[in-house]
Amino acid sequence: MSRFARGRPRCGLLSLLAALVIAGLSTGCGPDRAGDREGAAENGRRTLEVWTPESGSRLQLVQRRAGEFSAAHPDVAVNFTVRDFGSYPAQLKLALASDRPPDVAIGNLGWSLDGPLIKAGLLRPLDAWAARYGWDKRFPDAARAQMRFTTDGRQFGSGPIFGIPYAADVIGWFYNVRKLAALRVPVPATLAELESSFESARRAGEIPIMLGNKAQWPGLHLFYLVSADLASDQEINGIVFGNRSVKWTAPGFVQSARRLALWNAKGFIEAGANGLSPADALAKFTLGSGVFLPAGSWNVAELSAAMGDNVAFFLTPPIRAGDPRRATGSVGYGWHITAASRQPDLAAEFIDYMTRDEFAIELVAGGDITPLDLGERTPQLPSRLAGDVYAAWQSVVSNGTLLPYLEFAAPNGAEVLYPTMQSMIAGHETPEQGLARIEQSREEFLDSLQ
Amino acid sequence: MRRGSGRALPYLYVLPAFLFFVPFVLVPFAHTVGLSFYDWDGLTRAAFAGFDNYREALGSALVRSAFTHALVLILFFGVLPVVLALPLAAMSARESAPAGNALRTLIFLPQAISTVVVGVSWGWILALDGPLNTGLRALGLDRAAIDWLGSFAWALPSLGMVGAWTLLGLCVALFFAGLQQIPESLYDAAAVDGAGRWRTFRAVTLPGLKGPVAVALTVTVVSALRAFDLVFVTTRGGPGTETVVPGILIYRRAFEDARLGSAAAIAVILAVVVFAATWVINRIADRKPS
Amino acid sequence: MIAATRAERTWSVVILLVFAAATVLPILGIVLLSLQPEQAQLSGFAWPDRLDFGNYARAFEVAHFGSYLKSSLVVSIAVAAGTVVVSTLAGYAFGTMRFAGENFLFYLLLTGLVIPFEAVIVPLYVELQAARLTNSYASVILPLVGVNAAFGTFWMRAYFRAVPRELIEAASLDGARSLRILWKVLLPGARPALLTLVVLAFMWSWNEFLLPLVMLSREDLRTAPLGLAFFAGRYTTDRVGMAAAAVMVALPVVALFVATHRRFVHGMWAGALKQ
Repeated sequence: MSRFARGRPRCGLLSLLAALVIAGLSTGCGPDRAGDREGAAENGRRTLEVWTPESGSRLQLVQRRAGEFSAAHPDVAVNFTVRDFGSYPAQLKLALASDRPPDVAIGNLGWSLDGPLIKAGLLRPLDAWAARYGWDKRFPDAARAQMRFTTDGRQFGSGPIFGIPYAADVIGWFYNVRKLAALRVPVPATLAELESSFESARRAGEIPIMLGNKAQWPGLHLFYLVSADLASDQEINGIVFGNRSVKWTAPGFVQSARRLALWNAKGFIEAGANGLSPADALAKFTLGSGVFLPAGSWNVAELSAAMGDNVAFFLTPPIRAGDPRRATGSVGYGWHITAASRQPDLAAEFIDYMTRDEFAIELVAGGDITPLDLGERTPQLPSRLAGDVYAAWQSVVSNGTLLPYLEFAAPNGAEVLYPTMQSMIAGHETPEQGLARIEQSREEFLDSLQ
Repeated sequence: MRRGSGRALPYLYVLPAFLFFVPFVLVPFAHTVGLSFYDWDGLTRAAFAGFDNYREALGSALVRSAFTHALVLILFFGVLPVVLALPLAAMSARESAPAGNALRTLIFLPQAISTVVVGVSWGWILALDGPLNTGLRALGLDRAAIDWLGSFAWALPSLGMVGAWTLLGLCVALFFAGLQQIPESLYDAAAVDGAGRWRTFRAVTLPGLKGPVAVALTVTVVSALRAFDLVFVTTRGGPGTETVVPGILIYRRAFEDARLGSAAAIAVILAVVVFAATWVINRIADRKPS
Repeated sequence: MIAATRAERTWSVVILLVFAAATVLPILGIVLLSLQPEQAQLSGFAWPDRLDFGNYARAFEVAHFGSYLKSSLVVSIAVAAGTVVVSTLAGYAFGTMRFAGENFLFYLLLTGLVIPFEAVIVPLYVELQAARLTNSYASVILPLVGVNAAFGTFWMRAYFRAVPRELIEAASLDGARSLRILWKVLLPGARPALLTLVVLAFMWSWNEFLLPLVMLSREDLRTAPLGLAFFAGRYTTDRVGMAAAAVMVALPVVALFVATHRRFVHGMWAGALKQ
């Protein structure tokens, strides 16, 4: 069968294509926003549009608290839009350009999401409300820098306040208590002991490290657990805060990547990790697969519900026994008010309500951690696991050993950073090759900021 | 040929089709071409970028590997089913009509199934603890029971095999119909000439199947070049970047990274490749046999 | 046909059965999986102890598949209807009439067969968003009819071209106008071709994924494949539920195909190869 039948002049098709190209060029594409925004006031009832990537118990608590806000303000309805963490940045950007943009949105620190939004002028500086509600007084020093960004989106850590956090996170090792005890190894106190417990687990036929790396970012979180020990403050902060004299190819990162590849080669990491989603891995861990689960503190509620006292938590042990433990974590992503919002004062009131001590107490009572220092008002922790996590968080905050997430350094981690981590862990490329690629993509990003 | 009752009549008949086609297919395509020359994040002003997007795309290892992966998929989606379908069609033609039909319908069944269903289902079948590996282990082939879709080496070929599974039936059906169209007289003539099996196949069957082969190749090759659904639902481009294909890149750049101009450029390159492949296949099919 | 020996025929049958089995086995496996009880630990194809339709119930209640199926039905029927109407009209003109620019217009329409959807989706999204049409069935139906119009017109034109001229001449000599000719004379005989087109258009739009993925972010509008993808992504550990959902998404089109396959096959191959 011939679509271009014999005898027909084929140049007809070429001239057609040429016409299309010319037509396309001349239409030119600019943003098509008619600036048309519906007033959110309908029948005297105001609706606050809120966007968040939260899930699980934290989301439930947030929505319940928002319901209480609505109850206290009878003419206000709070409408949540929830998207999964991976696609949240993209979906939020699309929503901000749509005809129903959110009033309030959760961001993500550094350039992972906040920076690009601020640079595009999509978020409002919050200093006026911060002064009114005392937001800048509430948070410890560790938090204050991460709430700030310069309005040109170039400098993270200084400039006006843009985001108010409410729930913190820290990455560490969850472990199956009974399995570890069965291995007759003490709870590791040094990095070397941790590695030898992996070895013991493997010899006993257990899966040492349960990991679900299909989403590709869990591998990066595993990297954090190693770089906490092997990379220096200067290296980590240099990457996160855009210091060009520090590169991804620095020795600390090379060693960390190499260590991970070694763990994988020795069979310490779940063999099917690349085909398992993080949720799958967590489920398997609760069902008895794996001795250690490297994961974030936001999983506490789910883990203790499934495993009770059989699960505990610690941060990566130091190289030298007794040294303070270092860990990657953050004071949490913040609530932002969008530039598109027509009700910024209402939005600010909402944010204040969501970040008050009472809510922090609720979160902690549910097993989560917060950036606020609750002191004597700290509630009873719901499980032993929550106690472990809370103590760990307190220790890094008070020791000043909280390390920022490297992914804050640039947006679009899914394009280069996450897949390259995955391929370095698998030994598919060497640390030098992979880190060089990550560095190159980072430099392209930093160039684009100029 | 009867003229319409007005010179405008034929155009009126043709109008409805164009009313849908022009604004929803042609114009957006023209826009894609135009957009590919700009740098736009979908929110702020678009900045003219000339050929930058194309330069970046053609120079990017990731984009190049996306097209290389598509090429691998072409082998699995296109070449493999076509090669297998030729003998299968011939074999099924020998069977009685009901049996032949039944077998062909069964082999065609995957075509009727949504690629999302195909992806989700095979995702389970190929899992580390899925049925394929269970079967391999039962046969004593423990070493072969790997995480197929999580393997850097095997993820892409695995997806290729899923595509072959989907498209085999279409090729068999097309070739079967094509075989029906070849006049018996040609076979008789060949038999009279004393031609053996192989020569008859080459001289009568293959040329007679040129049309169906061209159709089959066109459909399967375009399928491979466009493969988005299957990859999105199974590996999303992973592990690493082993299964990234142009469709995934376009989607990611446009809807996840907010780099619409770059996405458009890759889309244009994809369209050009699709046009070219279609043209080449049909050109070869049109060539008169020597 | 090339003659075959007895041994060859036996081998043929065996090979055909092997391929048919290899094709059907994965499908069967999923169907069986969907009938397993919710807590079953599964790692292989297994015949369930008893048939448990609970997973289907769950998919309807918990995962809103009733709504997804309804959305898919609305979209697919609308697209199939639209496709058939515009393609028949256009195919009639291209196939039986002569007019200036007919070749150019036909080839223009044919480009729709080779333009990959990925090359259209981005501006289409932007335009439909500006027109406030995203998150509506129209945002999926209209483009799909546009794309299908290319194949559909090509298809119907092929059919109309094959109709004997005398039939049309006779009718027009009797004074019938073009529309009447189409309706009374040509369409009755076009049933196989039309049926094929309807089935194909329905099938393609039911199975369409990228377009709804981009246009429909509201959950109540999601089409079935989209719903399945989200379900599989969210409830990754619920494999039996996923299997039931998969079967439900695939079943309508498979059933349609099986029901019409004889006429469909006849119509398709005959038509496709006429060119």
